[in-house]
Amino acid sequence: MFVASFLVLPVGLYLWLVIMPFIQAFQISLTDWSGYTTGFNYIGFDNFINMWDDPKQWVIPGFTHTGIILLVLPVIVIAMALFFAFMLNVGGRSQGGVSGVRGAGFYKIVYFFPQVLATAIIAIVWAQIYKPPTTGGLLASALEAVGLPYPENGFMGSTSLVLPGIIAVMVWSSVGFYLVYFSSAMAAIPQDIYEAARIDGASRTKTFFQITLPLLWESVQTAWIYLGIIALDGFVLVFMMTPSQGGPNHSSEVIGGAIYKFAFGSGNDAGMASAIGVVLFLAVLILTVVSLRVTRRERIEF
Amino acid sequence: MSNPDTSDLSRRRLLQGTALGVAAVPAAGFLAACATSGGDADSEDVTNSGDAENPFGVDPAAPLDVVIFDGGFGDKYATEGHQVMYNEKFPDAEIIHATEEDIAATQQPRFADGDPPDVLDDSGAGKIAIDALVNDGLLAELTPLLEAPSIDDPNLTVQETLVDGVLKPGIYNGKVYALNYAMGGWAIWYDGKLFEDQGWTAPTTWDEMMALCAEIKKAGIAPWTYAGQHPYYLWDSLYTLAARHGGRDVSVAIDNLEPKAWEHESVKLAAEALYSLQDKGYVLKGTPGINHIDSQTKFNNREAAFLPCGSWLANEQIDVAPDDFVYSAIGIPPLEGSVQPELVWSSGEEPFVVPEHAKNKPGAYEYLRIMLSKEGSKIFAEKAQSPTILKDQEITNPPAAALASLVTTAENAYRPQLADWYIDFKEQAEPALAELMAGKITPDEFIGVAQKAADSVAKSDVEKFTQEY
Amino acid sequence: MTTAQLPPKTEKATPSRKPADDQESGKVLNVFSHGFLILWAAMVILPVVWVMINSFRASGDIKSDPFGIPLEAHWENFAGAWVEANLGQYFLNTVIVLLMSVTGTMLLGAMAAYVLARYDFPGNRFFFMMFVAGMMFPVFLALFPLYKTMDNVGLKDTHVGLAIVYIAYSLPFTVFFLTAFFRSLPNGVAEAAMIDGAGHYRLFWQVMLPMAKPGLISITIFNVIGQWNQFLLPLVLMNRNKDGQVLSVGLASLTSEAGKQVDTGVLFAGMALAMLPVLIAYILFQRQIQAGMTAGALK
Repeated sequence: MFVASFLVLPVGLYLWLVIMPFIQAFQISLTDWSGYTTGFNYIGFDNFINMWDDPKQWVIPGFTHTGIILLVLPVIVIAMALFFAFMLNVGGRSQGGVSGVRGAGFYKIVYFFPQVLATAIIAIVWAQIYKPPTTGGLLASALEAVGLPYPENGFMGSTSLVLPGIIAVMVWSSVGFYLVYFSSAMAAIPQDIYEAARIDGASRTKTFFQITLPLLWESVQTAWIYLGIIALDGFVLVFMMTPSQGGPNHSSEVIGGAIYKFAFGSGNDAGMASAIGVVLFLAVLILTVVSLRVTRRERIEF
Repeated sequence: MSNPDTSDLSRRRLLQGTALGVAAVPAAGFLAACATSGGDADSEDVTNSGDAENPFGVDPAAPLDVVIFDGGFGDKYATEGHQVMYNEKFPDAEIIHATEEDIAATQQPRFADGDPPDVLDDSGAGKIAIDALVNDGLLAELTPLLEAPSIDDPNLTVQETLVDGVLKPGIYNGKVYALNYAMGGWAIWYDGKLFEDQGWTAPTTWDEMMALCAEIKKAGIAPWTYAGQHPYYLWDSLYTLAARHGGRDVSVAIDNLEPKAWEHESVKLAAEALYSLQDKGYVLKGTPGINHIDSQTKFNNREAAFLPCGSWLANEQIDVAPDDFVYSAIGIPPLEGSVQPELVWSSGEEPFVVPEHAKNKPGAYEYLRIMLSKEGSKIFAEKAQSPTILKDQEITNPPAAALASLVTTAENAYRPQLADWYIDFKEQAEPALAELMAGKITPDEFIGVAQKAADSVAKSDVEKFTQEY
Repeated sequence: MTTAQLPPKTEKATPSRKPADDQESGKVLNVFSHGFLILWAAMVILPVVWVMINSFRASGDIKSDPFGIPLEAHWENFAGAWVEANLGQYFLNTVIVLLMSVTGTMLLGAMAAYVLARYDFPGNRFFFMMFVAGMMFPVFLALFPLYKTMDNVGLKDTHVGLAIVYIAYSLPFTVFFLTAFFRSLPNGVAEAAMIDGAGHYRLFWQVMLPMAKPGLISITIFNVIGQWNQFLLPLVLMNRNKDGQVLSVGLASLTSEAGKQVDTGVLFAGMALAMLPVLIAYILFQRQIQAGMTAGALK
């Protein structure tokens, strides 16, 4: 009785607004519904077949670029976050003892800040930074000023720089979070392990790879999955920053964008949008299971 | 005065870019779809009785549901004009009026519920693709309206009071489904004041254009700029150069997806001409990466001399451009040997549609008939500062007059449709057009992409539309 | 589950002599490492400072020289952003929605997590897995039907409706996190309270909730920031209520290109206004915020 009274509201709300819509989306993915008609036909798995032959070039480039982000983003963010975390927690050995470099507290505060900014704001700020020098873009103007090569049409106007540019913003905004996250995990590593390593004369690099990293493996694994989900979801930045929401010339299409364009943009195909969504869902599922498997290690107890 | 976001030719799609606040977010009527599926029977057919007073048999007490796009034209022309006129005629009819910034987002659930409005102004960044509505059988044909007697002269049909050929963009497979009410077109704009000060004259041929560009560049001004992020703005330059050179049929063959239509000599010359602008350094630096607002700002600042844009531009820039700026328009200067050198991309814009399942279809037709009266047209010109598709109007707005003067005869107005008709083509060819203008691909490569895109549409099972020669 | 706190400060150990070879390689590494640390700090700070500076400049100046400093403070940029661009209203809307949604999320989340963690009943595992599965659903997939559901019950374009949706979509993580937290609480206190005759409800409200305070604070912060960040849901679910829109979407409409002129100065002022409260709150509570946001991940 008590259990039921506590569960009915949350479970009811959850079933109604989360589970039900998802089940309906699966259902829509099997129809030819445009989104406007009052009726629709069931067409089996046609949407799932046709999506791979999309002349609009939303789907294949979308999956490709999302795949690239999925591979690149976690590697860069985790590598940078681990490096920073190590520097800020263990790196400052010149003073003796195990501590962070000078100013570690300050760095932590600064690096984490982008995490509390709304993605919409980050997108607007970086869109301004990435503009061509002719219209006041900060980055290209700066490169121009110091005589370095710069994209004349801005970063978002270049087919080769637009995707790296988007990934850079994702890195920019998430490194701080994982830095703090890894820092917490490092703090849980007993001091005497480092002490012992130091007495043995291990270099910092060695200490990192032989002590810190193995002990942090579980946290790295969690971070990997989180970043994977962020990578799959990287739509708002593309939506707000790139020309034609995925341009120029489809070089920044992402899978979320393909869904959005079919569902709410000029694609006019609710069935197709839902089908891509289903594929995305399956991808997340597989990703999670696989990365849990791949990264499974013996847990090191201390 | 903000932008007359004139419809079909316009910006809606190209602006989806970062138009978040007003972005198209239609969403769906799935539950309703379950509840009402199969409900596409009940629509009554409206016929024209020929009666000059009430040709469609409007029920004087039936409410009329009107949805107007909240763009540069505003909605005063409707609420203070056409709707007042409708109520004068049918005082008992209640008018349900809504002004929406995002048509698809707000109207899609109504369509999916089988409860669409009676009259819909389907424009703006979030407009519903009309071909999709036609394909789904959701729009009523406008034939009864066009055949009905005109309000001003019962001896003429409504169609006979319209400028020849303006209905074209609303025609899908020979039937008119959309009434593109405002008269608009595309042009190459320049600042008359700047040209006068510098002693330049607007070019009348492409060779003159190139010669002048060299001179402009020497004066330290960039000859051209354009909305690089929205290659849609460049279709007119390409199409019109080609169609002026080879005749309107070149454009019709392209629209009708005929084999090798893109490989026509005139198209090649047009592509080469546009490519040469970048090649010779006549385009403002960074232009391929800027949006339409930036390009217009550069133009207003006299950092660039020519800007290809639609007819709404002059009105839109009234508050922003310098006071002494003289907005002037030319058609893109024709290539040597052009057979139809005065051809201009010009037609009706701002499509009004009547949904097939509208509750008060007779009222909807009558409302459109009122819009197409002399009084209705005059109100639109006053409140929205744009001419309509009605013949013989007095045009008081100078830039509009400048543009109207470009079209000398009905035969010289044409309206390419390919990118509007087929989203599959647009998504493939438009980026290529941008790269051509940016000098990233050669004219031959561009034509290759466009031809391939057109061929793939021709082969696909997408519903096809045709233009008449 | 004691990780919901920042690392304890690392203690200085007794100084000791350093091996010589380490010192050599250490120096090179030092320069590189410190350089990189400083560079990254600059990369985070500069854009923020740039926005703050440009918010005081005239639009034309920004475009012609992105590095310039304000010749005179253009306060009208802020007035334009706050009043004309309606950011003040959007800000208020966001606060209203968050007050409802965060309260609701915490209440419902704590209730569900509590019984899932501490009561054994048929279906316990099933409900838990159901919530956990929700963390993997892409919100995109549900947007379409969700829109209609909200429309049907008349909650679309309302703050209450948006808050309810936020709650529903925040539940998976909140339940997941709090379940672990409630499980980690010692049994002794609960048993003692039961012996003293406390009912299940009193036990929850008066004993368990106060004990769970650190976890509740962490997840509250996590939800405040997560829901403050929402973009897609309000974009779609408030699309007919422009004046009721939340800050993230309202701000994005500042860059709207739908033909209206974008005033760059106003845009920057809007960005500055949207950043400032967050920046101040962050500097004041950075410890708690960092802990709250990373706590979940540390599970």
